[in-house]
Amino acid sequence: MPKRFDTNKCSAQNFKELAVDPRRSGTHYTRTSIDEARAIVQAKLENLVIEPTRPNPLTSKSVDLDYEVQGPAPFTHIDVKNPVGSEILAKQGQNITVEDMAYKIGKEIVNQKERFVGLKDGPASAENVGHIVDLCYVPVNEKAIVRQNILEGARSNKGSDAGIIFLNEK
Amino acid sequence: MNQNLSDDESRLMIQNQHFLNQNSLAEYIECDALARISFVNCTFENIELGGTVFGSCRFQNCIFNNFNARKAKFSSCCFEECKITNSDITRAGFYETHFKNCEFLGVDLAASDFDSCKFKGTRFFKSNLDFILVEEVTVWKSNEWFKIEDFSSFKKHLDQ
Repeated sequence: MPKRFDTNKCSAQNFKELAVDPRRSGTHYTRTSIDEARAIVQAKLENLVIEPTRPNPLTSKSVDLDYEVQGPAPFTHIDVKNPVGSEILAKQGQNITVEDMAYKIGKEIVNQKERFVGLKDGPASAENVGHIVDLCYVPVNEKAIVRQNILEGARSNKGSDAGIIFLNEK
Repeated sequence: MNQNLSDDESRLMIQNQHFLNQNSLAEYIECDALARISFVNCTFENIELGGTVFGSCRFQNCIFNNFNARKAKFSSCCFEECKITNSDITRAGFYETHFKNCEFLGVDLAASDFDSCKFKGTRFFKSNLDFILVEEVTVWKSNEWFKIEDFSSFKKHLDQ
């Protein structure tokens, strides 16, 4: 069974709390918010993040990052990315190579780390924002390519690929 | 259903349709995407397509109202003569997407990315553009294309 579905150590209630869309009133789930929850639960079970929670609705209106965490240092906030492989890109009508897609994601990650710095309840600095890149939708033969290009894209934008955590690399 | 294939056999054209919830679009969604579809004279109302990919789609003379496309991705799309009102398009990604003679009214676009996009005759009213990122964006103004270097110049060119 893939690791991302091994949620035996996560209660159903906890998963639901992590899967809710924080910007919607009431309890609202989307495919995206559920994907984010799967990734954050796996990261938690692998001890890559500590006590993730969704931001409260008021905070998420301004600091639009997926999760708040208690660490590990320096992370206070986490965002989740779900890249796909070339076959899905083509089916989705995206005229972009998997390399370019990954490179752009890397650049976006760096921008996103800085986007909400200094806001109330936001990260104090860019290094406090971690990014989980879940490679579960990338086929095995493209995972290394995606990983490499994400890191290159990040390095091309301000020169740093710090704070990027990959899941399901194999 | 008013639909046919256009341009080439892979492009579906849908005309004069009113989509009043996401279920009415479900038959066109594959791999979490609406791909290679031309929508002409269509209305999208009370639609929730958060996280959906719009790949190589064309929207001509379409109306979007209460349209939720949060975290959606618009890749190689074209919007022409479209009105988007009272909608949540936060944290979306627009890549190589063109807007011609479009109006955004009361649209929350906060923290969205515009990469390699073109804007011609497109205006934003009472819309939230906080934290958006623009890169390689060009705007048609005074009979020439202006390359936008940063967010402030983007607002300057569009909010008039």
